[in-house]
Amino acid sequence: MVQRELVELARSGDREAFSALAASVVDRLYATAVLILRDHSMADDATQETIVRAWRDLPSLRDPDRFDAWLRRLLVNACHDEGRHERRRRPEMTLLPIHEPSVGDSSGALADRDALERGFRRLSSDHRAAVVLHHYLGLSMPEVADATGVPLGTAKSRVHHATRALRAALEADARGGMTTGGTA
Amino acid sequence: MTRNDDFDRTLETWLRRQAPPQAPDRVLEAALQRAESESQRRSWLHRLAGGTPMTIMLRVATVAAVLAIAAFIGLQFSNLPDNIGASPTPIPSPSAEPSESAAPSVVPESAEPSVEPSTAGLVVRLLGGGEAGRVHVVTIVDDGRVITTDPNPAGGVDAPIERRLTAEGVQLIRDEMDATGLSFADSASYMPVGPGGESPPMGGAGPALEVGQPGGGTAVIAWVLFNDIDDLYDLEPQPEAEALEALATRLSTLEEWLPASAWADATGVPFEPERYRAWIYSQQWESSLDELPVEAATVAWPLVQGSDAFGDAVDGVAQESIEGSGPPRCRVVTAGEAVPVVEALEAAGAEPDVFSTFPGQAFALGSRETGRLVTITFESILPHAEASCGVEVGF
Repeated sequence: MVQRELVELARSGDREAFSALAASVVDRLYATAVLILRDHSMADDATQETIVRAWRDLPSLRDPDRFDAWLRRLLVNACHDEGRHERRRRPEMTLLPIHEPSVGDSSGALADRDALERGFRRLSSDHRAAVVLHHYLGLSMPEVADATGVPLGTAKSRVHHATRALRAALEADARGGMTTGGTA
Repeated sequence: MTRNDDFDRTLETWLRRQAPPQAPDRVLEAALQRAESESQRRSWLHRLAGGTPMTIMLRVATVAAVLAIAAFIGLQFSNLPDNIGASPTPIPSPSAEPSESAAPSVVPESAEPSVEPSTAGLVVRLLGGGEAGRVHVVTIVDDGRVITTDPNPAGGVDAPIERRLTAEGVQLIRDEMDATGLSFADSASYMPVGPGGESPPMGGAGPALEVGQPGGGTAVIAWVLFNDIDDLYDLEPQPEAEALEALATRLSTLEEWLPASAWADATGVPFEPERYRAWIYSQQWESSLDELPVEAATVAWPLVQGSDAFGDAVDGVAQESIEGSGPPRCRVVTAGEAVPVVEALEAAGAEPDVFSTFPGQAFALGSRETGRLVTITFESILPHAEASCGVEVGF
């Protein structure tokens, strides 16, 4: 059954169709939430909340073909709600495991990865969301604005500022690495 | 390939590798279990139009009740005191816990709440919306002062900057406000609603304007605008919110459209308030304190007598504090009291707290003895803002 049919059935209250719909999107929702929130426990909560809100508010979705965009909006809002508590939980947050084999990774790539991790964690969840939506999900800027509920200019500004900060983190790390190498 | 392309590719590769390939089974199971106990929400209009076996009298009674509630809310809103919302509502940045070995306080504990004195009237103040509450963007006073705070990439704001408009410049600001067609004479709230009066789910707070009134007092105009949201929901048009959003964009980009003749002094200088809210807060810090080079106990603390002795706990925040954190404490201090502390912290190399959304200066310190992150924030009290710590705090 195609997604549009599942959405229409779920919108009219069909729980079985909604379960199938949720199963088809949960992995993507979770991965996006993990990247935005940088915390598995918070991503668990945000993903669950998104699915529950989707069920509850699905009747208000006018165009079933806009389900993906609507769901992204719900996810970003759920991440915002989690992120609202992020500052208070910040000391309790743990580094994420990296989902890639470490074999064959060059020291330069490892350094980049660490620098990106540090830089990414210092961004606000608003900025992380913009980066993830644009650079991970491949959304256009208008789609990022749509998903985050901000004007297009704000979405562009967030992606710009965030990537600039990340690039600066990489460059600072590279400079630090060169200094260390020179004195060793 | 450009340098930017290289970076984008590096970033995209890193994000793909960071993304977990699949969600744990428990996530979907728990979500569906929760959804099982939830009913779907349908608009009032939908329900009143049919489907639900309501009697005509019950439908009439329901509509009457909704209208009565709406009228009551409207009445309450129109009776808001003039100074409501006069202070921005950001999350207080975690602020610092004083060291037990701190120097004796030189600051009396008798700062009385008042409105920051100013002979000039408030023209308008723009507070941006955000996930954690409203954040100051710009304040314009009719003596020409323009005080702005710019966002930083970490999500906090930089210290406020003051520039000055001519009388013509101030008039151009008023003209921009008039051009919206809104009166700004009364507090108002423009939120996206569906035909049944329900708002779509949203997080955080929307932006707001505080507008000075000719006879004194302030009207607060708040709005939320979801661009393209009508593609997703059956929402009513939002001409007022769109006009306010456009005005907000103009107010936050003054240098892009005001003519040179509108500026008496376009060069920004640090805003120097007469008073600050000094926030002190600490929280357990389980990560390394190495990133916080200044040890709290080694800093001279002219403001601080000892733990829990500074100012007053802010109750609303205390209830929301995380486990292991003391309640944020706050006291209004004069510039003469605050500036030496800021200078001492800067001289000691204290780490600026870039996450702070207060218009002011914030520093994060490490307390190795207690293993706590300690921050102290000096929030500038802007013109026509309430000079007290009894501010609404947006959690």
